[in-house]
Amino acid sequence: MSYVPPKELRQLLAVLADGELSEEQECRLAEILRRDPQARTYYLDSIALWTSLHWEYAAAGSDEASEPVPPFRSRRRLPFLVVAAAGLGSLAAVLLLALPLFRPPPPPAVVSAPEQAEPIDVNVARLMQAPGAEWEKNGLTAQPGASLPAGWVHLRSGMAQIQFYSGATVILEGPADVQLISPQEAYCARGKLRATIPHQACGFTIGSPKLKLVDLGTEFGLRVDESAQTEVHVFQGKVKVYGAGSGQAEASQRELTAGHGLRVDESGMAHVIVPEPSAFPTAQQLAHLAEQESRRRYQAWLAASERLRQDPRLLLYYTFQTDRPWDRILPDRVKGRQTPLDGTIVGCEWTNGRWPGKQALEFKSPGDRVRIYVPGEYDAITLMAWVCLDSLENRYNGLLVTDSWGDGYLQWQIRQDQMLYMSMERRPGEHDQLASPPIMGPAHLGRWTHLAAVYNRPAGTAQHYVNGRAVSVHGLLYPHKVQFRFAAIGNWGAPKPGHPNRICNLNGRMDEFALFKQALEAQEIRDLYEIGKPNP
Amino acid sequence: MAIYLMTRLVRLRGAVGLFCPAAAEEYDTVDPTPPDRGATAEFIGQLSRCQRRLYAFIYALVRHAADAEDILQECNLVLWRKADEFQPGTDFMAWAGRIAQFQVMAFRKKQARRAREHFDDVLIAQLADEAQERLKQFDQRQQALLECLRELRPEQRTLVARRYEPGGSVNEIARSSNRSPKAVSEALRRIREALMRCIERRIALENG
Repeated sequence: MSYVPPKELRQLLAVLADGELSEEQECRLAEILRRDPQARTYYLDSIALWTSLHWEYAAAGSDEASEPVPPFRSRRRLPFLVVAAAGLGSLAAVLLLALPLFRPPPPPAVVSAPEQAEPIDVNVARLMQAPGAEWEKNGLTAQPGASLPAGWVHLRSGMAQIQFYSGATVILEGPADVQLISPQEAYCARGKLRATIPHQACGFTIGSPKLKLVDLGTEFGLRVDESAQTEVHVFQGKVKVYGAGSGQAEASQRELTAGHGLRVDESGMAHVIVPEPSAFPTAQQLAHLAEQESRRRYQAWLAASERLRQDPRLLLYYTFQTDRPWDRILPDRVKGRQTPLDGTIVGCEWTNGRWPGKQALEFKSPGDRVRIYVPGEYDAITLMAWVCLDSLENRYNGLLVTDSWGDGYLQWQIRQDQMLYMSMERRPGEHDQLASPPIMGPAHLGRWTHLAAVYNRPAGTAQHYVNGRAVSVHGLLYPHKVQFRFAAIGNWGAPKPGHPNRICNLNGRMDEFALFKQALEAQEIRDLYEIGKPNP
Repeated sequence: MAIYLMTRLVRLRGAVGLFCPAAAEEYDTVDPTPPDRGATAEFIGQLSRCQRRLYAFIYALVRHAADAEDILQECNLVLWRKADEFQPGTDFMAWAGRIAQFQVMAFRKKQARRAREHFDDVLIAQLADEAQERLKQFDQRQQALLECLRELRPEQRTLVARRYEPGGSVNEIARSSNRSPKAVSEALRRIREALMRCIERRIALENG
């Protein structure tokens, strides 16, 4: 009943267990396996055993060998472990990959054409402000400051100011469905908009179901209601109006000048109307609304920040708010701490943060940094920061980098290749390098972005988050307790004597930084992002 | 909004990422809740639970640790991409194993110059079929192994630990213990064979 493996098989497996087989040994093994089914089983069982032994001892050096292992948090320690990360559901992933015809994902802001190294901007406009904007899910949904590629914008409610690269500015009032076609052309299927066209954008065209407008340097309002009835109100300058779908034939053309308006009803009949400037939101009204909204966001963040200060899991909390900017101190705001872990600001200018009134530090020169000290060792930590990057100028752009390396010192950086990057060396040769996909592309430059990273030794995992979403999950090869001690925010730590001082400063602003001594749940990170994002 | 699948290779080559070109970088969607978060978590759970078995499966077909690791990474990418083809409730490992087998074959084709000709596609297919069946015992055998390790003499346990902990190798043990690599290798072989017999015994007992 019990199988006794032949001596040759045992010898071959012994060689394989500790290294590689020679050509000849491979050949012998194949022959044995081919003709002996029991040898195949023994071979498979042997490999299962070796794999198990590797797993069993992969965590050597950590002291958790006997911890209970829940099924999902299986001990992922083997080098070869890979974890799939989900920002979204897998179904959607496949949908986006497999069905680009039905709904192409918007192109990235900047793409590299295969034949030329220079990046190309494929966008046509920028979203300037969007107070109270709620977007339908089936179109571009952007944050103010974002560049917009050609495509549909479905504004459910609120307002949005879109500036085309040609210089034309459109203020939309929801509900509105507008297609951005090129820097010189748009199409309004429904909704209300005010267009301001400077002479540089002369010739800017807006289509609608009933007519088409070609602008001759002006300001006008356009309203398309549910039944496609269309109104044109000219406030300044003049526009050419063409019957919809008629092409630009002279016959169907009509010019409207300031103080004139036109309504084309469902049947296509045109009626003269009197323009109502007050019915269309102006840039000034929009700016006022945006300012109010930004004040509300700031107040909400202040309240949330006050609550966060009480979180017992906080190790460090910098809100980057000071009324003593000459002090060179970055106050630690963790509540009730006897000796706060204040940072020392080296270089760095005080500047504006996410909202008017919110302060921030600007990191620009190679010397700029905030020196900090964090005592203790931790099983798990969560890092988070709000940053507005100008560029990824250096190969490594430090977010938090320790002075020391090895022994569980953890570094958090952004690499020039746009990857978020955590690294930790347990001891020489045992190095976890946890790099996200290249996500910090040009679209994240010049905009406030929420970054978070979790290192979780007991679970054997680490994650990177961007704007509240997990962008990657990693299995840890060498799980170890985390420590920081002396470190720098926004730069690398102080180099040891004899080591070159590499240029690794951040280029941009930071206006909030927190370090937790636990792994925050994905939802908590999402919440921190939601309450802190500059616009709703 | 983008989906990312991360892979990490043991030899620290950094990340090989697959990501769809949706503009997560640009657009923050209004709705923060992905529609099928539960399904995704379930899938990730399945995928991470079967990693050890899948590695053993691939290793049995290629017998080369670094290649097996690379193929596992590739395989995970493919599994992720094909996630919606998996029928919940059916045997995940059977599905994953099939895809792994294709990956192995594709890999061998790519590596034609150093292909292990002796293991032809017929033998690989036969091993793959039998591995699928045999590896169903993987978790049970792993459990038995833990108990069998306790039965070892302390010096044997130490030797196994030193061999299989990260960075451990026969040569390293030989160097630090003043023994020949051959002697260490032989000692390890005996221990592994003893473990094999012990596991066999326990499984036979458990399965009646």
